[in-house]
Amino acid sequence: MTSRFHCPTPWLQQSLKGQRYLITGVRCGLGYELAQQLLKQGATVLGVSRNRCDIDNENFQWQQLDLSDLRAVQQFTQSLLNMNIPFHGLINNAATIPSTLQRTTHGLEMQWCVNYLSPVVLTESLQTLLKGERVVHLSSSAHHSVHGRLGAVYFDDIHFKDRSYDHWVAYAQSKLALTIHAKQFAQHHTDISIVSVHPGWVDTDISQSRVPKWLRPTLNPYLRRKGLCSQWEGVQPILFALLAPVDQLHSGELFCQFGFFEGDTRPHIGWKTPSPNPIVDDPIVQKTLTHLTNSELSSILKPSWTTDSQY
Amino acid sequence: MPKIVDHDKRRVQILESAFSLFATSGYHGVSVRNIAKSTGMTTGMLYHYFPSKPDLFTALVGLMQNRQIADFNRFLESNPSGQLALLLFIQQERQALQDLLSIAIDFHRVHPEVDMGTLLSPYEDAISEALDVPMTQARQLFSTVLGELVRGLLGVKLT
Repeated sequence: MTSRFHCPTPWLQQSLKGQRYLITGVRCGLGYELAQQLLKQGATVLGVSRNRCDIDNENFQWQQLDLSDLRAVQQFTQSLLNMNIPFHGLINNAATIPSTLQRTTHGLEMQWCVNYLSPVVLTESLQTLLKGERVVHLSSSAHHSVHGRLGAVYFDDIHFKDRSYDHWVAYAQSKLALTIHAKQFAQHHTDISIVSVHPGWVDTDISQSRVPKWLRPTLNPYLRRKGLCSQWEGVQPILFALLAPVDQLHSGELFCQFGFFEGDTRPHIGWKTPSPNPIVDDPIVQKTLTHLTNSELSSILKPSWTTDSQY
Repeated sequence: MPKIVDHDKRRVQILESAFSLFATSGYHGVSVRNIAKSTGMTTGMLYHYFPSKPDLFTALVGLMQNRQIADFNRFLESNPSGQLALLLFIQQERQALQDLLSIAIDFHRVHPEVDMGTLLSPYEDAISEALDVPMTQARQLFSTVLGELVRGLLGVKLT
């Protein structure tokens, strides 16, 4: 019950000198842990986050970026395109889960923008710098279900204008959309591998915010039996997606750390193909989502989100 | 010396009153004056027994712990022993245990500087002793107990 997925040790000891990675949400949690490991292996890391990151390493470069500001995200990608230095991996790690309804300056629901639209802009815009390389979308088992119900993208009301806000429902919606995007992207790009990752139920502030800190050490044995993963365990499937030989990857699919999916009798580890949420493979949902996404991005990033950059 | 006995009794009365008030309104939501009033004494008199509200909390935890642990040992005499007994006991005492935990969580919000480890460790010791198991196992067992209580208390979705 307590086994977790671990990357083969040789992969974590090999030199990544000369490899360059872009990580969002690098200030804390999984992004921070991942950056530390890649740096330890000699890679160069460009990390972005809204608030300052204290990683001190000559191969680390930090840039301030607020993923709730799509125009800033676009400017950022433009500056990278101008420099024209390729990346070996883009890790769309950053996510938010505000407990009350928040909107971006453009009126979008915050999680939809930060957890879904921004990763799409980064991935689609930077594809010329990622040829032959990898993209990792941080998904979640929540893309499958929350509160015992199948996750859904509410096309009639993505931004919670008429329905009451529930932060887990919004989280599931954003992660489901992101998981669908990976699937779509893989269908259209054979020269870039993209993997959705469920990092497990990880001991980060996002997952544990309601449990008082002073109780956590004592609760730890119980929580581990229930599936809780350390941050180090949480980055293992991400490292797998970045470091595994390409023939071990299933582009567009979901790779999981220890996780429970409804309908399974046992916890699941490894590739979860197809996604337990059938919506991910529904061509009508895929098409509707693509259309909606392009229209939202066009209206905000006009005129530069042209038909050329639309996916 | 009957006077000393009276003082002890009075202390226990105050703590019992405080417990039921805290359980209803939280540690933060109850003033020393409220507690004094409910026990029919002046705040000045109450401060004679407990110099501060945190002192009263510490004494309250001590009293409840001693009682719960004694109750558990008594429970073991008339029930199947081992881990099953622990689970049955928790079921039986769930409300009181959750109340104490809830008060403690509220207390720590107001006094984050206080080390709460001392609140939890006596339970681990007691489980180890009463069930005659090594401390490592007692910690695992107590972790489960606490997990179930936290889950009930916060409605936290743990998987």
